[in-house]
Amino acid sequence: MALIRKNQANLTAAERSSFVNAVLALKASGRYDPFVRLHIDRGNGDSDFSTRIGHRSPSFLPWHRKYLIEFETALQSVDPSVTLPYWDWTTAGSTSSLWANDFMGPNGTSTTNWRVNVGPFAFSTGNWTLTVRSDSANFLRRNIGAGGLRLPTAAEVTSVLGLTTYDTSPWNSTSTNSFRNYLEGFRGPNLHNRVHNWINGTMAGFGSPNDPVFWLHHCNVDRLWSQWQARNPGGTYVPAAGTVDVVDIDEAMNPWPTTPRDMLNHSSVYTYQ
Amino acid sequence: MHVHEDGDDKVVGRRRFLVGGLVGAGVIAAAGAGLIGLGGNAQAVVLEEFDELYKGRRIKGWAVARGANPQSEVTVDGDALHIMSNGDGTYTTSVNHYESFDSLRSAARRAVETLGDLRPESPPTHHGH
Repeated sequence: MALIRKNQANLTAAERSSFVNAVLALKASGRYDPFVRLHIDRGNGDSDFSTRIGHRSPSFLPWHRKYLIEFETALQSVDPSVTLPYWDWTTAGSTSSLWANDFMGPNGTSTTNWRVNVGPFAFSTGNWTLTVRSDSANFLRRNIGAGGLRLPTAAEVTSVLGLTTYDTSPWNSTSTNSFRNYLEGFRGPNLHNRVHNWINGTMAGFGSPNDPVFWLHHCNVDRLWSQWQARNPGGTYVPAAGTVDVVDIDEAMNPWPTTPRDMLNHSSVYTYQ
Repeated sequence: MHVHEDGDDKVVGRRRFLVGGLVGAGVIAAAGAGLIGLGGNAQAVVLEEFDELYKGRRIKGWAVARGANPQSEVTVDGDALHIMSNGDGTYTTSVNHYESFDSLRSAARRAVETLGDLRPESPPTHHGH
């Protein structure tokens, strides 16, 4: 039976607690950090000028769909009741219960270089030491709204969902009129990238999965792709074949044998509520 | 990428020396390009070079065009900051992986703002660009 992924704002206190505890259990058992390693290695290897698989390319969406399924499967091995929640940024901002002390925990503080000091993922708990990372901070950091940045609006999301072409040549961060590139954020109103920057700190860099809110953010990106797919049944993944440096629809997405085509229909694995 | 076949320190040192010495001329001729392993008949153009104190951190960097994909290095107080060149001529770093910057200097300054008193740490592997 397919799992049901819920809006984080609608989780019960027990569901919030179960999610947090499952994430902490993965961290404690050493099964969390390899997910961070995988993301850093993939991001480091993705280039507009050469191979690009996890980011700035058509496979950004199916690669992260696979990545999220792998993480959700790991959570399920700890607690079968846990599924990935999604964070709808257009309705839950800096005052959301998303940042409560029983869930993701709050913003960092300027006096500690934006270290998150309370909540389940605060360094002081001893449960959340960053070991795989791209800077010298072994603690979670957030500087929410740094530089006056705002979260994407519903109108901006709607405008991107209205694009009818999945992706366009040259299949990288410069692609125009591309649903993928506008959702990823290198063009258009900047959706996914901007949310990383809005949280800032740990979420701004290569090691962004060190902040557990990464999973809720990307679950929303995946949900938007799913909505787009429903609206555009004929607008499938492109490119189809023979594209240099880019994953075609039937090519494997490193490090998995999984192809973009394998990821197109998720309804037997999970659905969004 | 062939520029990473040698030990990084040696290659970086040679390129920095050469680029630093020729930056006033703006263009490195093919012979000079060969010395620093840029190879072929391509002319390498110095896009940018800077060395400054920003918010208490020493940032140094340079970018050289060779074909479409520029080569570049940035350090923050001597620690390498991983740089990516984007297809539209902008830059992205490992510290601000979801932002693009028009110049290497602005990318380095933004990294300092995000790092505070932290150091950048280089990834253990480097492939693709």
